[in-house]
Amino acid sequence: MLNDLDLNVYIDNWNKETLALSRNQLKLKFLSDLTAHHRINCAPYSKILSHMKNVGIPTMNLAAIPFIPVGLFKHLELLSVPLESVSKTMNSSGTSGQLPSRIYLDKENSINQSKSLARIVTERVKIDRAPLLVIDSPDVVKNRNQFSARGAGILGFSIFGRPVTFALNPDMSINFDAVKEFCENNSKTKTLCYGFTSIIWEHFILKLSELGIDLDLNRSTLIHGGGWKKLIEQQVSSAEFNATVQRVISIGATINYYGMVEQTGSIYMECEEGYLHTSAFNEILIRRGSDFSIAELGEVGLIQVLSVLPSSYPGHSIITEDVGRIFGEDNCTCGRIGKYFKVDGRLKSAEIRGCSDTYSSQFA
Amino acid sequence: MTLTQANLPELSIISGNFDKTVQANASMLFEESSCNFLISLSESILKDTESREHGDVAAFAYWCRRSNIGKIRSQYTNSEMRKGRGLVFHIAPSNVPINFAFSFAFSLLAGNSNIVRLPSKQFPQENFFFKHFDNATSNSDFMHLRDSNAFVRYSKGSDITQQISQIADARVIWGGDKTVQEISSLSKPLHAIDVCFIDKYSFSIIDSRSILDSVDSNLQNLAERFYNDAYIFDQNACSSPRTIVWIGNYEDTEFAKAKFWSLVQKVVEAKYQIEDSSRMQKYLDLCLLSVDVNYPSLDFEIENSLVSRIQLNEFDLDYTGIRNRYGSFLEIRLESLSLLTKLVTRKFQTATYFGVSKDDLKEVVQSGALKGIDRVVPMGSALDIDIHWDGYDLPIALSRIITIK
Repeated sequence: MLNDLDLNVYIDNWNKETLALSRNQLKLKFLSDLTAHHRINCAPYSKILSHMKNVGIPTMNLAAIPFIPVGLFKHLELLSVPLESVSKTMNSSGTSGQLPSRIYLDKENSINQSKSLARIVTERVKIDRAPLLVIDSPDVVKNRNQFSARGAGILGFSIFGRPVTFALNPDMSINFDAVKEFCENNSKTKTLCYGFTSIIWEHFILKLSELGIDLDLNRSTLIHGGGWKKLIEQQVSSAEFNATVQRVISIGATINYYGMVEQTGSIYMECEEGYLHTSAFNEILIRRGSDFSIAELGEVGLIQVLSVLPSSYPGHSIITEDVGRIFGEDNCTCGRIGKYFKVDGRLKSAEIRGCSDTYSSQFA
Repeated sequence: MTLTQANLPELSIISGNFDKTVQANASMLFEESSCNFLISLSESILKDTESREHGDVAAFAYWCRRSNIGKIRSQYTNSEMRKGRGLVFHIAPSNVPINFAFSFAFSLLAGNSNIVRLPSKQFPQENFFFKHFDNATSNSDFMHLRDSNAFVRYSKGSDITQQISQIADARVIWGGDKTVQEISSLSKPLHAIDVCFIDKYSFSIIDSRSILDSVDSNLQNLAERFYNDAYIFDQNACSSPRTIVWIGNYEDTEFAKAKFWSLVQKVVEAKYQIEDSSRMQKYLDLCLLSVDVNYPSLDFEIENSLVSRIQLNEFDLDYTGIRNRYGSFLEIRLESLSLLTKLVTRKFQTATYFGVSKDDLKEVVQSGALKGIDRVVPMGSALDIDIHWDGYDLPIALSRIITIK
């Protein structure tokens, strides 16, 4: 019976006891179904798989699901539905000098992303609707057909917000009137704040700190993720981030999440113990850089992310250039089931050797 | 107005006197003091035990040792009168640390004064080199060379390249197509010439039968030499082999491949230092190659391994457009060496070989049908840069002939 279970039914009912018990088995089924689906419907994906070693045998476990490098989405237009049914495209933030990833979503895929995000977030925050302060500029979500990773995050989290206030002006300066009003109106209500980690840091916290302005958001929970590579470059640790946020805006709680534009909606949220968690909709594997074999518990390696959501593009199993380690499964002291892990950073890009300067640019 | 250091605030001088270099005179080809200076520099470097830590600087010093300079000089003994072109402006490549020293030495031997722009990234080898450069030029016999050579550094965005170009008698531009295009578009005096090192393609020729007939110890040594050619610069050096051309019948070649690659695999596993990000890049490269419409019929597997092999049946497409690196090799089998003419284009630079006779190679090279190839050297010598490079005879290219009748 489980084998006939539809992904949509699962997304709507994942927390029913019978489904919760077999969720690993179900995730595996959905992921292998997706592999087959994309193989049939996405020609380049099929070609890549036909060149991969050991692909084609029935999928027995998560590790056997083929994975493609995250960089592929920067170079190829990968979609498994006709172009006419694409309703949204999303682009990665694309750090300077790099090509952005392009992700094509049809209606079904984007609805599933919203549902999944809502389920993952409410499981952690236990707030259905609350006044939401988005620490970004409203311009980021102006175009409703084309999104950046930032825009996708804001729109996704906006479903929890009633009302939604933007803390920054289009020029990324702080909209003090809006922020002040938000704080005054909600001094006695539980609220949410949301933003991209690097944006919050650079354009909100550091600016407030420079100006010597302290806010009181002690009834608010700040959810943030993305753009943390920038903070690593600036050598800002998560402890320092949290401490500074606490000092400057007296935030009630901060919750970090890990996610990427290639798998919007199926994010990994940090628990009360400070670990990132898999959810009913995603999975994680750590692979050794040397041969892509599966790393031991606690061993640092490349993060492979798996999500049951990507149906309009073949992004259900991706090897990233982020490194991290898994600490355990089903036994985190926070009480949640699933794997819990930490992200340690991103692979350092290697020095380019060779006599031509241009080789770094691109392959073919 | 003459160009001076004072006019160029962004210019930093690593060694030598910029203002005097700009005014310096050319000397004759292979002038005694230039040759002796390189020999003295060579001795200074090789005497320093630290040279063991900088294999590439040691290789440079070994190249300009007394006997080799003498040998090179003797190749240019015909009676024609040659003098340096004047001031040569070198744009060194950013990724091969010691290349600037060779570029400088070739031009010095040709009789020129030199302004050498060092790569923007400073390599540890550089300090070591200049310690000995300064040591050698402190000898009163060579002190004058400080006034005719300057090693400089400045950021890429500045217009210093343009300003120096305007007073140069020749530019030596390394760094591949993009750099050459950028720099050569900057104006220079009408009499000035450019010696450009553009992107090139290199390959190996292996005789299958010779592999099967060789004793294991020779093959082990061969695998190590192949490793040096291909892997030291992540296969990114323009003279590193990207394609292996096997000469022989099908059966011999299959056996030879198995034997050769299993030895290479072992050497690579023991020696190759590759970062995980480069492995990821290689994995991505292979994924992209598998969907590249320009190369539809390649036979290979996408995997995270140190030796990747891509089989070709024909070399009729422009396979030189494939940027295989970090140890990925195209392989093609030819029944005979003479068929090489079919796949070599103008872009080909170095052919490293094993098991093929020099006479047979000469015959192919002499054939009118062979469009490219600038060097044919035994396997293991791919990276040995010399006065003949990319088809240029550098002391000749960087000097001018003076006729007296």
